[in-house]
Amino acid sequence: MKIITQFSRENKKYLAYLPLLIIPFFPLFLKNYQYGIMLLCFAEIYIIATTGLDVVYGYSGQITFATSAFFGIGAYSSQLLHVNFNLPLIITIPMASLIGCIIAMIFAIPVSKLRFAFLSLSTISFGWVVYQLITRSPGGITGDYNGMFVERIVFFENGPDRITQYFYFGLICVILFVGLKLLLVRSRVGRAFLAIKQNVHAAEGMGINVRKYKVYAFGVYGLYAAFAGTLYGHLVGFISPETVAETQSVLFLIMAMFGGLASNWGPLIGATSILLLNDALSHFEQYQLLAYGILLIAFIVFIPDGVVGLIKRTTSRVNEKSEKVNNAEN
Amino acid sequence: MLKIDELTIRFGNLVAVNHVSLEVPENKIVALIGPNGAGKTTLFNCVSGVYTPNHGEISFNGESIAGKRPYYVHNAGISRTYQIINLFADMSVIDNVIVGMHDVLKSNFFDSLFHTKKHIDEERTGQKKAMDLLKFVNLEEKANHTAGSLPYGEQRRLEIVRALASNPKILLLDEPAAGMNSQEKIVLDAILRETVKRWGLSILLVEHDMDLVMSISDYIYVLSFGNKIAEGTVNEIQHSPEVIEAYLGSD
Amino acid sequence: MFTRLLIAALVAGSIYGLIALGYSLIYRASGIMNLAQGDLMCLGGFLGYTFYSKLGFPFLIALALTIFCCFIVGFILEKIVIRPIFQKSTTTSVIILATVAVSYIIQSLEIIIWGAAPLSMPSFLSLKTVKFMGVIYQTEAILCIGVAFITMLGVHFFMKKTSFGIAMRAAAMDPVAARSCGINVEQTTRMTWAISTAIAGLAGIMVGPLYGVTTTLGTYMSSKGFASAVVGGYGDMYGAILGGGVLASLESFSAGYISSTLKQLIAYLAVLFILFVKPRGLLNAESVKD
Repeated sequence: MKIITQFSRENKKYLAYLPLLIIPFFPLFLKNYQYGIMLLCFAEIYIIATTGLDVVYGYSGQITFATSAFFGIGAYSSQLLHVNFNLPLIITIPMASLIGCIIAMIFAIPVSKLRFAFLSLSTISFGWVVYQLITRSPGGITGDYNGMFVERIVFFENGPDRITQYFYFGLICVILFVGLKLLLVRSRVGRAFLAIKQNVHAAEGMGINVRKYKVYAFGVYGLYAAFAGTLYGHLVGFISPETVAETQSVLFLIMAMFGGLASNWGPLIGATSILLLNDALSHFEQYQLLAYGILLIAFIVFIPDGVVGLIKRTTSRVNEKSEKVNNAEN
Repeated sequence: MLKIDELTIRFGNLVAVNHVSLEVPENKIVALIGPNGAGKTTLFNCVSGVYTPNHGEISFNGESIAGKRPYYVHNAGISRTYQIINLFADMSVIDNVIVGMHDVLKSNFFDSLFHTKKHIDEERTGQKKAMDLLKFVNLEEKANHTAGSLPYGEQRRLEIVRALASNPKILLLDEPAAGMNSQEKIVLDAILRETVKRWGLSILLVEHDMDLVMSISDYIYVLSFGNKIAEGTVNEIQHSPEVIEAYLGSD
Repeated sequence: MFTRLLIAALVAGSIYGLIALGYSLIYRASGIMNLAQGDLMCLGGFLGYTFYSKLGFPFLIALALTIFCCFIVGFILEKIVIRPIFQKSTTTSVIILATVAVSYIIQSLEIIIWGAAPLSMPSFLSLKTVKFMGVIYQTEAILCIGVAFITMLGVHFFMKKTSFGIAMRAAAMDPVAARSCGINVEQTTRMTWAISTAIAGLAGIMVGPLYGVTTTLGTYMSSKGFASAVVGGYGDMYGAILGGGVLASLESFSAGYISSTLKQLIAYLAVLFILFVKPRGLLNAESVKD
């Protein structure tokens, strides 16, 4: 008996990952529920964006209300490049992501001096500027307030339907992007980010070029958010200024914070949960916002450090208790 | 090695440091003492790049570093600790030390992103070096504890090894003995001596504990109200009338 | 043309300034940004509509009731929502998120109680328009400027000359020191919130006859108020008012002289520019929190 419990305790870590193997089979379970697969695709998109947000906010401590702006930059850029320069999507998607990355880094250069309220305002203003540019584009190339139709991606003409194909493509992207983020935050650069977030003066004093790293963080964030935006546009087939609105940026922040900042699973849990919550609440119409507000307050009161934080706290409490039991037994 | 010439810093109408000159030669422990408000930490902040002096020169091994950003100064080989503990409280003890060697590690952004061999090797070496440093101050058992959970004296020791992590040529210590009991101060004395011996660096020390200062200093500078009022060996300072007056006031 | 633009700037500026004032007061007292400030303004509009248009109270009574209600709302808000969350020692960003939640709740309650359609508030003055320097304005617009001016004078006087105001400022600057002087910091913070929301409500009811009463105005005004506060120097009372004026002038004059469609773009670009060049705002405010 003891051998079994000891074995399971040592390998418990890996057992936790077992359920993940089911994910590639989801489309089979949801075969007749197209909407469900679509939701999964959205989850993938938001996971990538939230992961980028976690890098800049969770790890380097720079709060930003501009996520939906970069999301929109990605979506609009990819389609505009495709339509106006006749480039295939396989080129425009990376290009659009890179555009988001570069704009974010240029923006970060003066912004890296700012903190807190001033940083918030600069990101809000950036969001507004992008919104204005999109709704008043020269020659109406973005469709202004009406929005724009976007080329939908089709990977294979035969085989499963477009949405299911998209799900697998998205899955690969999530693994790639989240994987890279995990590598990055467990590195010298990730340490520098955390140092900057916790104690910026000490970080600078220890030889970290704070400005450079803040710009790097923004670059990663811009890249991820813009890429997520391109995925969105080419999935849905339509984008409009609503996607770029400030309220969407707040939603991304909620996703990141609900899941748990500066964690591996936080963005995944947060993005998926809030997406599902959003979907569930949409049936309430006028009470939707009210439910949202109340749930948000409940979240802040009961699990301010996010789901991941809650799990950590519970497991450490459980570990303490089992240690006490062990000690008592011995 | 570190040469400060006619350094002057003004905050509005207040002259915090007034044309102070001092020198820290290689492999020596130099102390900077003086009553509270004398400008010692301000001078430190100037050297480490937090403030830009209004006047004067700071040169380190021939290079002028006045007005340079703190990370640049650190890069040049000057490390410091702080008057109020300035650790990364939510990071582990060993990570604090590894952050200290940030600018000595040479992997760039892409090495970090893709965990190249260069990065993995460097990290492994860094971990080992950090552990050795922790052993030096008897903190290796607590390597994975959160830095903020350490008792005060251990936090102070951690700050010192964090500063040592980058192989500095000179260590600026701002009141390292503050808040320590006599037992901890004896340990600190030994640590500081061993540090100079083992790594061949210099120490510029701001300190109020006179026993410690007199015990380990090779040379002492005395500041009062921003002015240098005396300098000399331990013996000379102990018998200097100006110093006694500055500390006790004239009757 | 210039006068017309200037008056428009002053009207908008006084509203922005009032909201910004609330932001700065709260920031000084609690160290956070209350992102529900604009919605509290709207609440004032809705309450004013109910008291004046629906229940038929004379305007001054309606005004007093609205201000009083908004005052109470701010008081309750600090006591029931903000302070308990503060005491859980969570990060400031989380508390700001709480104000976002409050904003959602207020907006949804507004829709539930008053419906989603924009309401119009009739003019409460017998004199509908007034002629000033050859141009005709809605009297309410001119009144706005006057009311804002009086409010700012009132706040200035209260903060600088009354003992409670001085206590509030002391508590905001250094709660520990203030407490040791016998100041009840919890009470002064609560009062700061109450005053800020009351001012927002006042702005809302003044703006009712001009812009109508609708929930969407809330988010818009929140952004404008926040921008004004930061541009002027966040946390600084006078900065808030100055910022309001500056932002409104940027909008008004760029609409007039450059292009009406580009006015928002120009205004926000200017905000960014000011932030990059003078990060502490025009009046060089100290940052309360890093």
